[in-house]
Amino acid sequence: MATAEIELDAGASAHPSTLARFYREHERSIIGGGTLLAVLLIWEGVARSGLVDPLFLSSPIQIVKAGIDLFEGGEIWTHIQVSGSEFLLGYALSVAIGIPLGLATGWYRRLSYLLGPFIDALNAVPRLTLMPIIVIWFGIGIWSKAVVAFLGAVLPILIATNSGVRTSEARYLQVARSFSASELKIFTSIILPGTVPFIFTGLKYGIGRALLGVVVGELYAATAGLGYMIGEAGDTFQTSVVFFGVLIFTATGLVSVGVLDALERRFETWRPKAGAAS
Amino acid sequence: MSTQTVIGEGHVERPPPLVRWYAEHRRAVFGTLVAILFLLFWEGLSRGWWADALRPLIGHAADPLLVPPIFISSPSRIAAEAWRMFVVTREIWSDLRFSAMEYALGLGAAIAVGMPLGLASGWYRRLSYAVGPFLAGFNATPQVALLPLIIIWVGFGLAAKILIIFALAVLPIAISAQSAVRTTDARLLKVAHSFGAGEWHLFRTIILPSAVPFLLAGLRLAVGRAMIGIVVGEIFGSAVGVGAMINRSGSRFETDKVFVGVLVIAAAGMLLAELVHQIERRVEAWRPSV
Amino acid sequence: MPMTIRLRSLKAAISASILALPLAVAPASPSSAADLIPFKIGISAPVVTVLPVWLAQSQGFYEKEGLKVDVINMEGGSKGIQVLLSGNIQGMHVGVAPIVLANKAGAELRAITSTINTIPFTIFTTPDIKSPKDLKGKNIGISSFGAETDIAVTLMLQKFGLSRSDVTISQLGGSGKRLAALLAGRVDAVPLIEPTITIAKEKGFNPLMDLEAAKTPWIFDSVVVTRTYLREHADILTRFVRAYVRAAYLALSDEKAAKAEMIKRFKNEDPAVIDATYADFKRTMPRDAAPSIEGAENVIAQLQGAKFEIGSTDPNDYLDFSIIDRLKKDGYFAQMEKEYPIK
Repeated sequence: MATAEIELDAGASAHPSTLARFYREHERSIIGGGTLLAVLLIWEGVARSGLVDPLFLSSPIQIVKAGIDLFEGGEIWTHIQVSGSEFLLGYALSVAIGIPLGLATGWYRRLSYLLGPFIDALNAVPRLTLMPIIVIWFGIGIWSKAVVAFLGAVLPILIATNSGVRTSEARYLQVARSFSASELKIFTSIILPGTVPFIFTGLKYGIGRALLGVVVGELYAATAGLGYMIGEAGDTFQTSVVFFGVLIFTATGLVSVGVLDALERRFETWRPKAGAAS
Repeated sequence: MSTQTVIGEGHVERPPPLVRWYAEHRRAVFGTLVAILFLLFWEGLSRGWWADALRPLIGHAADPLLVPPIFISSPSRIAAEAWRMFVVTREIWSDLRFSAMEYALGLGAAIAVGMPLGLASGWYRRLSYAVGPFLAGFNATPQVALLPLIIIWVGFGLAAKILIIFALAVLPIAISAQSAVRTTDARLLKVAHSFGAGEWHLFRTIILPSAVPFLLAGLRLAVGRAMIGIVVGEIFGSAVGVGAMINRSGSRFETDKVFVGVLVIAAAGMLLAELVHQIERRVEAWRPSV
Repeated sequence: MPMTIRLRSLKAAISASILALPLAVAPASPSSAADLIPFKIGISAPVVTVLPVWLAQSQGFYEKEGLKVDVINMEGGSKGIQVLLSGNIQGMHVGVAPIVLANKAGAELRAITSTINTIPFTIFTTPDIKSPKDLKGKNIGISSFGAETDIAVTLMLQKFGLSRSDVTISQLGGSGKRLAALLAGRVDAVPLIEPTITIAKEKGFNPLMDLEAAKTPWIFDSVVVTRTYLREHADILTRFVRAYVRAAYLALSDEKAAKAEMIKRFKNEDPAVIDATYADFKRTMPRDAAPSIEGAENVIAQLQGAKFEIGSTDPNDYLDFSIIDRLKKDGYFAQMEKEYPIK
């Protein structure tokens, strides 16, 4: 209390107003939000001025209207359900395979010799180019897109996990070995916690790849889904619908990464500090 | 592993050369062996070797082991098709030239826009606040979803392909440029400031040189992302280009050709990434350690 | 195919466990549907030549044969064939040309019916394109590469002394989508089928080339299945074709029912369009619903001429008459003629 008052007195003449202080504390959000607002206003203004064909530009209000129409029409729920299933299936599969395989290839050198060439080769191939073959194998339903999403997401997750094991192995193994800890003990108490930040990096990267897979898969061959909806809307010049669909993908990406960030922070606080130090 | 080392230390005589060679190249030997086995397995599926071998034992249950080429092609078919397309008919070269051009233009535009934008937003804090939401949003979006919009804006032509490659490549470049500036050693800046260095001088002599490795790392990422654009940009059709070739061949059930195209794009991607990697090493060696 | 059997069982196992949730949300189907055999058929586009497939569905003919049929629009024939090979669908309504290409690559597909044995395309252009040579450098829309539209465009370009590299070819999907793209100015030329031919004429587009007038023998739209499915499920296919033929006869004899169906499916009430489309159907629908050997021979010859790589040149490697022949032998067509007298 006392010190605060003293400071107040000392800086009385130059003391910033509450508004300025508020600005200083929230400068980032104010500038960011302000710019966003300005861009939206200019966009709306240009669209309304008729300088540019609204067919090309749409406008923020038209996009919102299109969104409301889509939800009132109800058809969009089918698209969301289809794309959501594809994304979740593909992503879940890549997590279920990528993490264990990444841990195993990081831990067992021979397994990494065995699978390394395939992982490297598959990583070099832009998997989206396999789309024509994936349709022959898996058809036009949810599964073909789940597979593309899986192929996109599994490698970043696997490779990040793998390098996590190796990094923590190199860092701590000497110490642990010198205390003659058992293999299992080393793995669960040292390697695994050290690998988690890497896994999260892979998981976050994987989200983008899985979403990309869903979009490309649905643009290529689908009868439903948000990517399909965007493609259809593009064909019929419903620019607002396209924008709205793109925004749904943006939101999905932001929310998914946000959830992972929160999980990671939770893990950080729970993790024994010994592992976190460095 | 560790126990082996211990035993190794105990023995005085050196192992025979072949064993030593194997120990040194174990990874490569193992990898090559596995790759050859895999290719043989693949070839056998397509030619029905495994189905023929097992049929006397399990009868028709072996039939699924014979897979028609439309589903998986085969290594020999792919090699023959590649030979035909590259050497005999030379039909792939025009596709390659076209794709290389759109790739170079798209990536070039991404560098021209992404690097200055990233550097500037790393340098000017308020600019980074202003563009932050856009970068975050754009980064979270699968950029390919913009394809229908791009087609509405510029049609099906070359411009659409350049734009989609640009959209895929620009973010890794911009974001790495931004973080490059931010991670510059603050002590260096302080010292330079105390010597009265101007902003531009600071930027040129300290920021830029220390940013180069980050910029190159971003470029390496972008090189791979942009490859996707070649294929995706041509989903809806195009006269020429490797992506168009893959697409057309897929629709005509020419799976061999699809694989040739996929491998060509993979090889190009690896080659470019390796090129950037080599530059990175050069820069690393040349750069004065600070 | 053999591979997909394995994949499908894997898929079924996983999807049963994971997809249970979204499925549970779907409305419950009536209990009587439980004993109907599910059959999925793809169509390459919503056009006049699939009228029997639709009409049998809305008239309940499939249910009477014990089938529960889903009709899925694939927006492109060759994409539909890829999906057929994946096992997602059991039949695909498409022409014979893509079958020839697929069988070359090791697929074993057969056309077992036909709704049209000529090429029905008219190639429309924007009004500013007056002669074939104006096409140079322009953008031509097709449904998908390897589909009938792709081949029709190739044939047309050849006839005009142009090559594929003189134009840009874009994949747009079915006839309706191609017309929409032409209307929007995204492409300069597209091949169209009824009902879009009449609509395009009304909109003032230029019919540059009428392939139908040439009465070129072809098999343009037919029920295509894998040979394995034909061998193992001839019974299901027979039921399907019975319903399909009945619908074709109903459409031929009952103008009102046929037109009502078309208005519903094409979402177009313009009498000029519907009249022209119905007339087209009546003119081209073969009364025995059978693919023509002559059509298949011409498809093969034309593909060879257009430098496509093909396998067998024997039409019998692409057609299968067993189902139609059995119906003929059973007197099913005679019965149909009696039930649905064609005026």
